[in-house]
Amino acid sequence: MKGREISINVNTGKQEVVEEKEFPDYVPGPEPPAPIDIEKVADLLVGAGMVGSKDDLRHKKDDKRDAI
Amino acid sequence: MPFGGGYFRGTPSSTLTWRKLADVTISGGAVTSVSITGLDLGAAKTYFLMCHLKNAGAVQATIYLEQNADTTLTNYYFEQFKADGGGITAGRANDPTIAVLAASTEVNFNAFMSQIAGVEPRTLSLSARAAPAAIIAQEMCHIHDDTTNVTSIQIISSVANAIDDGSTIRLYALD
Repeated sequence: MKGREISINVNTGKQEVVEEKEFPDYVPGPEPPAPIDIEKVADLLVGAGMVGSKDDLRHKKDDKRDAI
Repeated sequence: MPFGGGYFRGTPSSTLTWRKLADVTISGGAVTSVSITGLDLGAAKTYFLMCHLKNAGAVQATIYLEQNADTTLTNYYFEQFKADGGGITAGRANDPTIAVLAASTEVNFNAFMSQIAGVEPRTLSLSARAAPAAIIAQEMCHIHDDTTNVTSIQIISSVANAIDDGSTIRLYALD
């Protein structure tokens, strides 16, 4: 791809502009996958019969934390 | 005796100061790249790069940090954490990504870069990206798989001329 570039030399202070510099055609890699939806995982576990209900996956109330 | 028994060998009266090397505000039209040359990271040991970039278009651009004009993406690696309100994700790739400039908005990223003799330069960047209501926090670790002393850096957009007028790039050295 062609693009504009500003170049600065910190020793001389000289600044140049190149209006039509050739750059590689960059193809960015994928971003990280979306976060796991823990509610869907819980539904799958319930659906597969691995747990009785989503409530079985929760900590007790006095733990002040929920697994889901 | 953590400080009194000979463990601390620095000179207490010595100081380090940040010296500004470059201060660029994009004007006269959007750019694809800002190249800063005449550097000597090995001598300075630490640089601080402060960027606030504005996207000139409606397409998301990846911002690369390249060194010594090495444009081969696979000569770099990065590892990242990203928090987007819905969760935290991590990822690693074989390219020089240092930030992501979402469509029609801005990114701020601040990066510490260091190098010691004979080893690869390493950079740690923290960024605030995306539109206000969709704010994303992102931390990027970046390594150039090349032990050559860094004498220039290039901040490059994966999309042609995505870095808009008004964008600022500042580089400091810690002396």
